[in-house]
Amino acid sequence: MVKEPINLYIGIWGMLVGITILEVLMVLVNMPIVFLITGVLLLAGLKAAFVALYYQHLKWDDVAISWFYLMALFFALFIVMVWTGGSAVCQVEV
Amino acid sequence: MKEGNSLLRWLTTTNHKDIGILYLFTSLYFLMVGGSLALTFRLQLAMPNVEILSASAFNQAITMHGLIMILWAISPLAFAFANYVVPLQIGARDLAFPRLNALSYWLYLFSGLLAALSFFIPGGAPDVGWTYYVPLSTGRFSPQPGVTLAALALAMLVASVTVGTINFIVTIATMRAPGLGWSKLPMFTWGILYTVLIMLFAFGPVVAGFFLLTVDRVFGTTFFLSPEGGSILWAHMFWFFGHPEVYVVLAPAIGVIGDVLETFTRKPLFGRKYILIAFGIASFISFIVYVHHMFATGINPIVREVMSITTESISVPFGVIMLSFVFTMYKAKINVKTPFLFAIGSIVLFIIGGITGVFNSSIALDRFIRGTYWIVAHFHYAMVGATLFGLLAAIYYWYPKMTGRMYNERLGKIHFWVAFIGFNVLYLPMFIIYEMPRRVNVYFNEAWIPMNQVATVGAYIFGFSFLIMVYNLVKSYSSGLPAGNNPWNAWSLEWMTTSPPPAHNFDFEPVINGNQISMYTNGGVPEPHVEHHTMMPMLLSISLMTAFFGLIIYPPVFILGSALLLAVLAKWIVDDIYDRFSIPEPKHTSKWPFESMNRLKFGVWILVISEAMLFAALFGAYSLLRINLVGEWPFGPEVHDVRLGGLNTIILLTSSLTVVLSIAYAKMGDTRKLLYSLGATYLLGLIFLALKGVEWAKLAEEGFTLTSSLAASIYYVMTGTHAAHMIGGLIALTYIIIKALRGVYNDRNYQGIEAFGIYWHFIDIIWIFLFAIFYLM
Repeated sequence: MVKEPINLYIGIWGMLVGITILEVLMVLVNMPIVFLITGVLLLAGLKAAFVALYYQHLKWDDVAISWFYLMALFFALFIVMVWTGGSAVCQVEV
Repeated sequence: MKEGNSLLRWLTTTNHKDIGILYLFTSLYFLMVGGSLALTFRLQLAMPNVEILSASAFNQAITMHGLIMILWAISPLAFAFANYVVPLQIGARDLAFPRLNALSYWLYLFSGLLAALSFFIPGGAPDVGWTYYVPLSTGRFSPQPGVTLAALALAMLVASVTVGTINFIVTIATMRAPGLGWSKLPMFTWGILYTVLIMLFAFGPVVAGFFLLTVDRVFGTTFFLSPEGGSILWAHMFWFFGHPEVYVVLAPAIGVIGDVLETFTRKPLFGRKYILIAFGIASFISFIVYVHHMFATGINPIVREVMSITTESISVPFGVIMLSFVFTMYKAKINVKTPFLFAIGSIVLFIIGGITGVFNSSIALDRFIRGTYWIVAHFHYAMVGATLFGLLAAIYYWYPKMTGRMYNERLGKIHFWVAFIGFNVLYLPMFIIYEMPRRVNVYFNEAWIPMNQVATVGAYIFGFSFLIMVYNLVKSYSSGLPAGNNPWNAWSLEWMTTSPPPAHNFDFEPVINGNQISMYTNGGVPEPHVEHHTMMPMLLSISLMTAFFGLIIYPPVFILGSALLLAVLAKWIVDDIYDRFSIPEPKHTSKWPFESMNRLKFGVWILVISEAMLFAALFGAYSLLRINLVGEWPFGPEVHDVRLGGLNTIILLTSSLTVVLSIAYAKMGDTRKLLYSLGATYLLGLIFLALKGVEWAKLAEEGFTLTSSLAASIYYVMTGTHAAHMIGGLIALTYIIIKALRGVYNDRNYQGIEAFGIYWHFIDIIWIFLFAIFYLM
């Protein structure tokens, strides 16, 4: 029988649930908005990385697939930065 | 392939060569339609103030000319050859997913017909320019249904493109003949690979843009009517796709030129490795130059300056490619045949188009020449001159392979010279009248009349040249000299089989060893070839077209189309459950660096990447709106129930766990636990959607509706799109569960669940960010 890392999967799930609860608590304790936004986005990124690496099996798959993912991530960040960067200054100019 | 030319064969074929021929005829048909529109409005422009076309008809003609030529004519013409030639060039029997390849074609055909139908409905075709600039194309200023209909046609086309992208990436990456490494791939296959890679990342944002526009037009939101979104948001969403699209159109032609030059100069390409590197760099840079289309807007000067530099820099890799092509010809014993002439024509026209484009990288000059005939001339040199001449080279180059007949060389050369002269007579004068604004049906500056008249004469000469080609190719099909297998003494694999090739391409498996090509004869027993025929791709495309048409024009037709669509999807799933279309995984192929990938898993990965780009654009739209409404945007926890959102997030994360457990249980051969895990996933998915529904109802009750504010609109659009993906996932899961109940999955066969898991986890990842941005901040 093939040995599957079931305990690891359950451990990752526990961590994901824990981070989600932490995110909710960060809102409920009325954290300063800058810390809240930074913290929430970092934690969301961490959760996404766990899901991608362990549940989508990127950790064990051909590394070339990760490059596709990273390219999409790069373009996503590029889009958000260029689109918001341009508009923010536009508003100031107006 | 079914024998003969019966209608049934062409309606049901899934063979890549048949599909290639269907693409060829369809794209030439759309080329004729788009060209006829151009000839009509050129007639109008030959005189300064006449009314051959009314202002509205003129605007419809230029809009549909642009849309048809770029999206339904030139790019698909390249894919005619991609379909026919790429599997042959890599030594494969077919594309990775033949049935999906047929679906790509039929979606393409019926999307084009849907767009063309807009001419015949009240209000006519879209008249807003192919760029669909807002607010002009919003419902307030262009209420006619044709604008929405063409937008839906475009969505259908993107579905076709996405399926095609998946197919070509998986095929080229994992189905190359043994020994056919990346460095040995023919230039045309490289050109198609770069094309589909650009398409993979470019099309998501424009789909998102047209989706938001359709929501604006149909449901009354104000993404593109509000000052916070408006024209800047549209320009970002459109040009992130629009500029790379130039390279989508161009890259196949560069590939063709590479192959043609190698063949007719009898030399390997000069600096081949550097051409490929430059090609890759140019493909990447094509995404980070698009803001030069927005220099005249009020966006951040730093962004403008950076994009000015990147725009200038893209000429460097193209300079490398063009110089390498020129050096390839240096001291070569050139065999000047028609494909070679068209390849040279393409290079010359590209150089003119490229140099005149460099001016657009200057912010100062761009403000002066924006929206003028300089731009019209420039992009026609790049997109029509370079691309179409390259693809005409492809037609003549592979015609002998496709038909088994030689074309008339003399007529081919006459075609080239008439086309080349006609093209330049048409577009060179436009550089001279560079001050004339584009998209005007009348003009009052008499100095522009002579050049407009010359351009119109050129247009008709250029149009006439295609009649020479059609006559030549049609006549040669019946009376041309036999071509033989390799009339050009070329080196790539497509020339190592008969002309035309048999259904299975090669009797034996090609093997590449160094520079030698041999056939693995397998003891004289040909490799078995599996081929299927099905009407489902065509019926699915017809039903989708009918549903879209009904949605905009006549609701009962929408119901009919939707019912047909559901029936076809059900039949498709049933066919799959009973393995009626299974094709064995190729055994001996070069797959580096994707050794562990099977076709299905790799295909789903590519689908996920394209979906990621769709959501990337929606996140971009959210960010832009939020930053423009800073101070007015509601704080997430004040609107949304954080605890409920958190609970739903945990439910979705748990469903990801059950999916990954189901794969593990399948691998362990534990069918009972496999079924429990899949069932739990299904249940958790349903609970998530139910809670989402409850939440939506509660929000609507509180006045937070789709149209109540931009914050509400983007919330419903993004969470709704996510929910639609979940519903799609649950449909796929239904199929997986049925197969699991039939005992299909075990320790050797679990790839279906694995592929589903990749998609489901992706939905989970998207939700993780949606929860963060809407509920927590």
